[in-house]
Amino acid sequence: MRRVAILLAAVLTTVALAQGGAIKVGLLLPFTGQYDWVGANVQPVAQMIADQVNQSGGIGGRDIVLTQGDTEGTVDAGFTAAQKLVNVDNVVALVGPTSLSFSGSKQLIQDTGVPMISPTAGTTELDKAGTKYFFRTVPSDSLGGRAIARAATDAQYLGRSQAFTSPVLMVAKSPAMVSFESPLQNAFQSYGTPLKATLEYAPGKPSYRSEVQDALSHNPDVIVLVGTPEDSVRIMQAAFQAGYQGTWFVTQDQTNADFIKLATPQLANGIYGLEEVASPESAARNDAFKKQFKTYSGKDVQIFGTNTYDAMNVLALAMLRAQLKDGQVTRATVAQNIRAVADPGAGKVDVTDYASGKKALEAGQEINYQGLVGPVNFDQYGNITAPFAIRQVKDGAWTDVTILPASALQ
Amino acid sequence: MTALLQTLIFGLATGAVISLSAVGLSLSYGVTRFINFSYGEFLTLGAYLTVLGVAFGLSLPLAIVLGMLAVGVAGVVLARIFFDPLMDRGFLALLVTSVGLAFVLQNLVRMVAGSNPIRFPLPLMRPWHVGALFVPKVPVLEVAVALLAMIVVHLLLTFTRIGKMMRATSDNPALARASGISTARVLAATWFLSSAIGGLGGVLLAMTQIAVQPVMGWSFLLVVFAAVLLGGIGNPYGAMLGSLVVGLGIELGTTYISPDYGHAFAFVILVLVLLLRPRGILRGAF
Repeated sequence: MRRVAILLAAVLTTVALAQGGAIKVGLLLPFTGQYDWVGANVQPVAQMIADQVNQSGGIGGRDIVLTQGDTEGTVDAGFTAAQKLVNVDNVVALVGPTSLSFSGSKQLIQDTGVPMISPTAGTTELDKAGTKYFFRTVPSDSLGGRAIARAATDAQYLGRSQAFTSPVLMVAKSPAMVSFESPLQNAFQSYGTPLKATLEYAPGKPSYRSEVQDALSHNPDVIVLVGTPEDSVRIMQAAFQAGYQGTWFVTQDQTNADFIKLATPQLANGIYGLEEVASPESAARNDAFKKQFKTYSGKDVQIFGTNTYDAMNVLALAMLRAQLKDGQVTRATVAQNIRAVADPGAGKVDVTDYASGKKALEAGQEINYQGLVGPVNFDQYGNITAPFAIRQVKDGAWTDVTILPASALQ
Repeated sequence: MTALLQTLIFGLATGAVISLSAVGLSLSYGVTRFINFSYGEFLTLGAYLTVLGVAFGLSLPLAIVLGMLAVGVAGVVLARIFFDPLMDRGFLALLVTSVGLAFVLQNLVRMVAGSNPIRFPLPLMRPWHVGALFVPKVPVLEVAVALLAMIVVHLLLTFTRIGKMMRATSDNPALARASGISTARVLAATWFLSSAIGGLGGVLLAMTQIAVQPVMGWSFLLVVFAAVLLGGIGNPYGAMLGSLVVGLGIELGTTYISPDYGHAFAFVILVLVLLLRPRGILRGAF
């Protein structure tokens, strides 16, 4: 009995020491609840990059270990999960959170100085959250809102002879969605076609007949719809039943094949959508990533997959640079090194993944990470800009109409 | 006037969707005397099994019928495992068990089918136009299915032997037992009928919501409770009436007051009625 106890203690000590040597990265995302698909989409990509780093020798011989913090897609649970990751698990950095729970984690991140790179949070709350610890590899909703307004009010981006003149906005009253409201209103106003009406609706209702009647009373020629895919389909179908003949403009969350399947091609035909688009230079790398991920997980890359690829690569390279230059990987050194590996600068070498970045850093060179979503150059608040594709459903599939360059959104 | 008529049509449809589920819940309460919180999951199961049936190439009506039967059987099996052994342990043990079972079933559905919404396989249909009114075909279909199902339930309770046994057990369990009625058989029949009706209720809910999701039954359960309590708990006919009132209340409230508080209107009506008639509109057992 005593032998078993000693053996058990030895095993536990070994495990504890091994854990102590690892560099912990927290995945602060919803893994359960309505938005569990976000965690399910992000986690395998993050794990794939962590595995690549570990197989190439880790960060100074230390493995990256991913630790999950389940935000359940809410502010309260998000705060609890962030506290666990930061104070109990002692993670060095966070991947996440989403817009849904950012407000619950913001102060904790600021106070503890743990850097975060979110591959999912478009919330405008992050636009100017801080200059040291907040980064994201997904464009702000401010930019997405401007892109929708720019395209809707300028016929050249719609692939049709006339721009829309009577836009109405329907937006779900949830933190992730309502973040679009003000940018859209301001952008439509600044492009010379103010919204006829802005209608907020309660998310998750079984039907939206009254809300649709209200929207249609303004005689819109386009309805900009910001909501979850299932609510969007309910609204579109209610409008179809009410005889609406106009067009729809949806956000990134709906601009995918799953949405057409959910809505049916008949209902989805003709709607416009918005999608972050890979720069022409990164198109081949995007294809390579999709194949690599398929081989790794047996699955296709889902929404936020490319953003996660960039977030994890930037984080791993920042850790490596911290190890090489500062001799230690801490929250402070990682936070300082994120810009050093991602932003452009004189004499820097462009790298596109961890392996090429590692090679350059170990050769004593400075690097500028070029991502799948774009160049991943952070502004002073850790935001990125990216071009957008304006897409339209034709014959039951999304087709590219035009590309809106980032310069068109200034 | 057109707007009011339009709203009444939608109210009727909403009431029909609620009523089927409410009748099933009320039936099971009438015999078992406990509020089954896992009932919402039978709605979810009915909708998902129908989607599954269609995916396997069955026609929609056949998939619905087979789905209902499967949910009925599942109801009997689950009750036999989780509820029947606790029948003598009192109301609280059953209630807590039913909440736990609800979460287990909900997450089983999530594990098998995923969290993403799946479209219910109903084709897109343009509405009928009657003067200035537009009458969507799906709500009309929902009302027709609900009416048909309720007529069947009424005939079953009134004219069949098992229906009469269920009513007798609901009225006075001790007397029913003393009269030679097999409680176990009545319980099994009740669970089957209640669950199968719940499964069909889930199909109607999916037709309204367009997509099926693991949480759909659980979210809808409160509205069903409101209708059941409003009509007089344990009384299926009361549940039908309560559902109609709740459905109309929700649609009138969202149209004329605010669309934000759809389900809240159901509870305002419930509170008002219960203040005036604490045992619901129709009291007593069936």
